[in-house]
Amino acid sequence: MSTPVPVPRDLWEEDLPGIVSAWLFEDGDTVSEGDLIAELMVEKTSYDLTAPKAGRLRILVQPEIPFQRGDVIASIE
Amino acid sequence: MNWSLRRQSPGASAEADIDAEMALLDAALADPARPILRLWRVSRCLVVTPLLAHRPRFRPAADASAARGWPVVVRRTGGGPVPQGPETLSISLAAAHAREAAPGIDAAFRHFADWICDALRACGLAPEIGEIAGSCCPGRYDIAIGGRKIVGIAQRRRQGRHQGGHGATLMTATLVHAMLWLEGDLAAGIDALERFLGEAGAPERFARARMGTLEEITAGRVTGARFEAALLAAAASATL
Repeated sequence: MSTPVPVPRDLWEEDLPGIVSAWLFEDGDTVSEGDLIAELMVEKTSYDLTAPKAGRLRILVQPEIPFQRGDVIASIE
Repeated sequence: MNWSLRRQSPGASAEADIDAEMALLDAALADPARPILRLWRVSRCLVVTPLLAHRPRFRPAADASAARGWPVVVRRTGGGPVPQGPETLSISLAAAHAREAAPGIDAAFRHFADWICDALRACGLAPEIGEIAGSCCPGRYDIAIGGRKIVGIAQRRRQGRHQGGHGATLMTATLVHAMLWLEGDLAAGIDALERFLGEAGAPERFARARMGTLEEITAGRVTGARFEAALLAAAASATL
């Protein structure tokens, strides 16, 4: 079963778009719960995104593509 | 004063000095009652964000830049590419707050920028906050004097837990980082940055006239030592 990986709505307060500045694993890699999987950037501010569970990472949003808080940017199978 | 001060001269490599920033977030999460203020400098380098590092031509371009004396370092705070060196003062503040009490992006930028502006005003200058279009790493909290940017600010945030006497608390650690061009040949750094960006497949041209060092903008009246003293004085009378 696939688990969506959304950008937490409480990660920042302002209504600003974010981007993935770096995925720290490749699409299809196996990750462990709590692994730092991506770095997000919102207006000169970087955030860590960690894996909510262990499994195989599927990347849905490539670097530099804008997203909003709450958007699903990956899944873990 | 509730913060602890760390000073650091350029170490073995710019990469190690910049990576050390991330340890500040861990330290802030471990002791939220004691924010950390770090005043530091790096050896000469071009600082970029991970957005550039995934480009196919990044590695050969970075190798070529290093061979010219400008190693390229990927930083973990946000923003765009910028030249730095021993004549650039980096000012970092790491603090952790309970998640519901953590300042927003704007509030953290504003608080930090106001503090630096207080120090510049204490030196007899008239700083202004606002984006300087065409500058390196532009942002809404650029600090300029006479329309020329001298300070850029970025942030890094991490969510974590602090284990206290009443169990674990969800926390947000915030690292705010400013770089201030104090003195030296800024144009040479911009030349090196533009050349690297072109070779990396991300060409960009910067407006040299819209940036400057503290030394050239004040005709040498305000030294780095004087600014640092003013900064610490302003910090002593404020809650960072």
